Amino acid sequence: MSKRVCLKSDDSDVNNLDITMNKNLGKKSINTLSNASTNTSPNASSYKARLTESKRKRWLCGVAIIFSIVLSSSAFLVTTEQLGYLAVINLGLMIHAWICKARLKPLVKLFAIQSVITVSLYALFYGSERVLEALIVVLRIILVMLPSWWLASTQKAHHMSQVLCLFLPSKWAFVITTSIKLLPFITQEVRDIYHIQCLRGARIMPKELINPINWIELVRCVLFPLLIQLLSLSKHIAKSAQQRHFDKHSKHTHWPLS
Amino acid sequence: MKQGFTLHNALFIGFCATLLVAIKSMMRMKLGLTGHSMFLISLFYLVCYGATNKVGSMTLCGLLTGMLAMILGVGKGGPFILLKFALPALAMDLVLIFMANMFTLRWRCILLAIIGSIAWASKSWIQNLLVGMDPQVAFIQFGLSSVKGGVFAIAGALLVPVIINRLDAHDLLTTNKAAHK
Repeated sequence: MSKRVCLKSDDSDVNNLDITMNKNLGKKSINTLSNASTNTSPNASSYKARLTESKRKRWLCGVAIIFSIVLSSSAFLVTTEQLGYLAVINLGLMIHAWICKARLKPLVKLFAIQSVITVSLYALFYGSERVLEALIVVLRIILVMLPSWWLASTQKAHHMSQVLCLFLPSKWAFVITTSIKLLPFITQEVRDIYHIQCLRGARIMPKELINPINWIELVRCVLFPLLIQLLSLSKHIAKSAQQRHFDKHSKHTHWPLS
Repeated sequence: MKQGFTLHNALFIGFCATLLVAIKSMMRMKLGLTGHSMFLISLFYLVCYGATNKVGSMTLCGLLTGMLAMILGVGKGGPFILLKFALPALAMDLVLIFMANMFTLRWRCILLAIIGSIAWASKSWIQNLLVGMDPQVAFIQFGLSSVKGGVFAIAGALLVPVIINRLDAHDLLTTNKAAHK
């Protein structure tokens, strides 16, 4: 009964389910529910405030996505002279992300790898004459990547999924939200299968994985059972969603404060 | 798109995309090999194709993977990650339209994996050309990434027929006819 909340198809269904619930819980629970309904005024105001806050954050996230797309694209389009202004804006974003406790390490690593590859290739073909040009190219690549990294580090996952769900069909929005909700379960499943296979004596311990021959065993022992598990899980979820009339109505209700 | 895939298939594609993102985030920056992500990309895209047996499943998986990576901030995140995952999938699906039943599943998977890795490398090629990199240097980088990505992609593609057989043995695959009944 508690699982029904996420799959309400329309208001009439909700009323029916509530009636069934009350019947099942008996008189005592009806009293509790009626007491709760009389004390809704403070809850209602806090609910409204949370709803407004949620909407505001969703809009902010939408603006941030558009801003990062524009900023990334402009790294391709601006001239070399204007690149400095773009670098200053990106530096501001970097400081903002750093205040938001984002990890700078991946960005630094990317910058280092890109610089080494591009500058060495330029040096190989043209000598030291065009090293500056190579550095500008690397800077542009970093300016393309940086707004995306800023977006990922400063915006919350559920706000981004809410924005994406605005322009997705309801079935695919359901698929995305279910996948995100099940991500901890899937990760736990990977860990469980891995540990069980290690106990069985499979050669997939970190030290043994240095040898590439053992990678096949990792795939066979961990990935195969996991895919079987996922396919059967998707079958069960689809069946339970369809039993709650998921495909019957085109309009779905969503709980707004995720 | 709405009517083509059953909810069961759609959820499986979604889970494959999630698993791809989860594994990619687990082994982030640990290998240090260019193109290792093509192993996972080709493996999961082709498993989606094998399990649903439909054109379009790989593109959907690619789009979902890109969106999930964008939402969860994997691989530097952002809107450009969507292109990185969707482009190989789109190329693979386009080629699949022309060679739907031409070869055995193994050879079809290998060919699709090669196409996918070329499309994957061409994304960074175009990006490098747009930022003004010398065409010769950009082409060499493109060639190197397609070869490295191609090796990993073929390795992933070779596993797909075995996985499909295993899923079939567990009676988890529904054919299109059965799905539409």
